[in-house]
Amino acid sequence: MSDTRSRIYRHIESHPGVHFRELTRALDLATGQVQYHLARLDRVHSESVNGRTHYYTSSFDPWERHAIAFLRRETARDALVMLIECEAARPSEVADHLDIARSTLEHHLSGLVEHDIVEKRRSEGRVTLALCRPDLTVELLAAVDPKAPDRLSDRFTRLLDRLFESG
Amino acid sequence: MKPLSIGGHLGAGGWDIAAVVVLSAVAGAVLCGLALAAYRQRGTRAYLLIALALAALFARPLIALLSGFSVVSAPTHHLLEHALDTVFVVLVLGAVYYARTVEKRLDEEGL
Repeated sequence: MSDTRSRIYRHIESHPGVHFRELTRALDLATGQVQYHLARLDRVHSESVNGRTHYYTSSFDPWERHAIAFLRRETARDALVMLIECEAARPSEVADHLDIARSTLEHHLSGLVEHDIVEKRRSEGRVTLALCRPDLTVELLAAVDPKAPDRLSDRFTRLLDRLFESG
Repeated sequence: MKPLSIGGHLGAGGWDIAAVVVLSAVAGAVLCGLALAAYRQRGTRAYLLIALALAALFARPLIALLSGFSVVSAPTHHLLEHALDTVFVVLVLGAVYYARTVEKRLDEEGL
């Protein structure tokens, strides 16, 4: 394996769910170079979540790959942390606790529910949110942390959500 | 009558203006990028209009730079800047108008 290729692999190994752009930036490589090597690294998996491609080593299964992608987004991460702490909560409680617009929460929930990370339990016409696999979610929480550009992007989207929803 | 400006604004000695314009272009690019990312996540018209409005804002320092290198004449620069201001305002108003459809969709889903 070439030196560049093993550098890319090691970076993905230590930063599970890393973005393509983050790889080029962190390793100071050209876009084409990273594309070339990624195509030849068969031990690397990619997952596209909300239009962004994340990379992982084969030690993570598809469920873990999706969970990691969400844990790299500040708002989704905050919602997951809240559900770890209180086990189950109503959507309005989560939105109030995180001080986000309902639409922001619902946008994140749609992905989390689709990939079986969070479930919506319905009883007597009321919806309660809970984690599908709490123990595994806690384990992954420690493995990843959102990066500054992700946090900035997340906060700006949250700001727009709130502006559009208020009034 | 003294003309407002002749030729390039950023000619000799205009380093202060050049620095402000470059800073404005960089900050504008970051803001525009954030708005595009928000549109990509939400995909609704209101977010698209905000992204386009911020693109118009980002275009202002670019035109100032073109004017600085005398690619665009001063009167054209002046006209384009005011035109971009108008575009910005109209797009933000459009986003405010379409924001209601986001709320309505959530109401219909019973959330």
